[in-house]
Amino acid sequence: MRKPLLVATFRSEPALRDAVRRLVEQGVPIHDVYAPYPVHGLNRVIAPRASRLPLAALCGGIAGCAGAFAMEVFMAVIDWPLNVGGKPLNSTLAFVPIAFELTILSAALTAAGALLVRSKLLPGMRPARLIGGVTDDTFALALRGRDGTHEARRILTGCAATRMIESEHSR
Amino acid sequence: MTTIQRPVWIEGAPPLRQIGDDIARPLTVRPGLSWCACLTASASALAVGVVCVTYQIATGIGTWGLNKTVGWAFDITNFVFWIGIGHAGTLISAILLLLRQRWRMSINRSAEAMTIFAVLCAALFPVIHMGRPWLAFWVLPYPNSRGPLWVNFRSPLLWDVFAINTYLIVSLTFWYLGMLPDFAMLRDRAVTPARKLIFGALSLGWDGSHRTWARYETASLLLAGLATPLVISVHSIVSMDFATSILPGWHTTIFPPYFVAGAVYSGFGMVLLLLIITRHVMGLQQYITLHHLDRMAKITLLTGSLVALSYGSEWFTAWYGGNLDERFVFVNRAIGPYAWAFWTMVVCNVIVPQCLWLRRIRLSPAALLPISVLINVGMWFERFVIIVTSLHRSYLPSSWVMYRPTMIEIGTLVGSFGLFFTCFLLFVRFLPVIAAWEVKSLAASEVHAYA
Repeated sequence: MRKPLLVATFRSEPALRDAVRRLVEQGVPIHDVYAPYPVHGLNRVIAPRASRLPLAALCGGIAGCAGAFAMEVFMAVIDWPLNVGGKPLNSTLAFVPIAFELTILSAALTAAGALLVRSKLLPGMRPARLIGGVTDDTFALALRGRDGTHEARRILTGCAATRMIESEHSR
Repeated sequence: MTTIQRPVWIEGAPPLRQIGDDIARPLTVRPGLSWCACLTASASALAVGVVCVTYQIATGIGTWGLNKTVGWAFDITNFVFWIGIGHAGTLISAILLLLRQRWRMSINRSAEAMTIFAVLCAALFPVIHMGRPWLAFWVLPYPNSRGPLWVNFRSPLLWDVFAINTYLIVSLTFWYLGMLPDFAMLRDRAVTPARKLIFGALSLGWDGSHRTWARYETASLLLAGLATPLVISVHSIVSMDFATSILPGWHTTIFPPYFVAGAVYSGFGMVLLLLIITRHVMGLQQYITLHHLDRMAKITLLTGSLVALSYGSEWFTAWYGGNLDERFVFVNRAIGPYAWAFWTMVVCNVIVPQCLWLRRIRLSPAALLPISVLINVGMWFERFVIIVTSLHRSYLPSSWVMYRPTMIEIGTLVGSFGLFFTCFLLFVRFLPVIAAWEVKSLAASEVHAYA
């Protein structure tokens, strides 16, 4: 689905922040901000909900831990109980290091995978690029078409926007 | 009176575009003469290793100097040495991220790369030691036609398999995710179709959206939080290869923290060595400043002193514990036939790092370069001393022997250095050696702070 967007670009982070602040004061909702590095303090405006990535990582970790213990107990106690140096078959403490490693592995891969899937960063994806230079030294601000009113344009012009273009956004 | 100033981590306050230019330049221009010379040297060392490894796999590990008493020597020394090297990379990228140390920003990418290459070098040695490396997959618990006969989960050697593989996979994930925004920058700068294609594929459609950035930073913190206990567990498990045995000199509870401190110490020695060379060869003095070297030298001093404390503690326990076998091993280390290795270790690990108390030395690349080499020599000998001197004179005097490495073993060690440096040189040529996006955010905040 393609939505029309109004995109304004800025040369510096303070100019962008200034524009965001003024738009928010006027009650204009901001669709997204594009920057070459993470601009802090905008989450309240753009992504107000707390990320669920930590929850995903926790679930991954629990699954990894449970899976590892289940694997160790099944293989060493149930499927082929082998006497190694007279040690108890279910030598749980000796199973801890591998369970720990698999917990970390599973949690880390879940966190990374969840980030990529949620942000649609997948092999073969093309960037929904709005404007050149946002990976380099340009800061951009996007408003949805219906929010790009005359008033919004006036504010953006007033805060040193270098360019303003109508664009289509495929996401 | 001198006032304490906050160091500036990027010299000259370059504009954002300039930072991108500087970091992307090595990828586009022809490499300099010094880079070519370094690559020739390391590729030659790698070739020596390839020849030696091919020969010993074709002939068998009887080509090594091992015997019935010393059944484990050069290969495991090199394995522990290389794993230890990797730990500084994770410390810089994960622990310093959690501690919000901004100076890590221009060195974390290369330190992570070092971790990955060091882990690859380390993994080489146990695989070669198997004798039949094509059966290496037998260490994995997969349903097989031999029963299925499962692996022994009670063995620290198997814990190692899981620890090393987890460490490699998590480090690779962290490294690749860290490079995503830089791949996008390179994609948008690319002029040739091949580069557009390669960096377009690698950047996975990154577009710099704030929603993505917010999630990205959350994920980075999560990975850092997971990598921190991981890195401590990896070297603890490596130390358990020894500590869970009943051999005097190995059977001590101090081994896990002692090994972790030693690992970080040797790793920082290697980071210092690599970055002093890299900043010079690639002309990155503006981004990897003397202040960075100073900070790294301070951590080296701290961990080096921890290592010295561990040595003292081991000696004290050997004497105070009253176990005659344990006491003999330590006396034998100091005045026995391998005393030269022991005293090399003491000089390099206890005395040399104490030079770093001097600020003038910490700020001088010419002084830090030999110190970083000596640290690595010392830490290599530490593992050699722990392993060989404990084994060669054990409980039964009738089985006392000497171990000396063969040329094949030495050639394999040379080859592992060749592999490491070849990988690193290719990395500085073909991938962004500094995290451009992090340095940009740092530069922007420094400009605003001082404007």
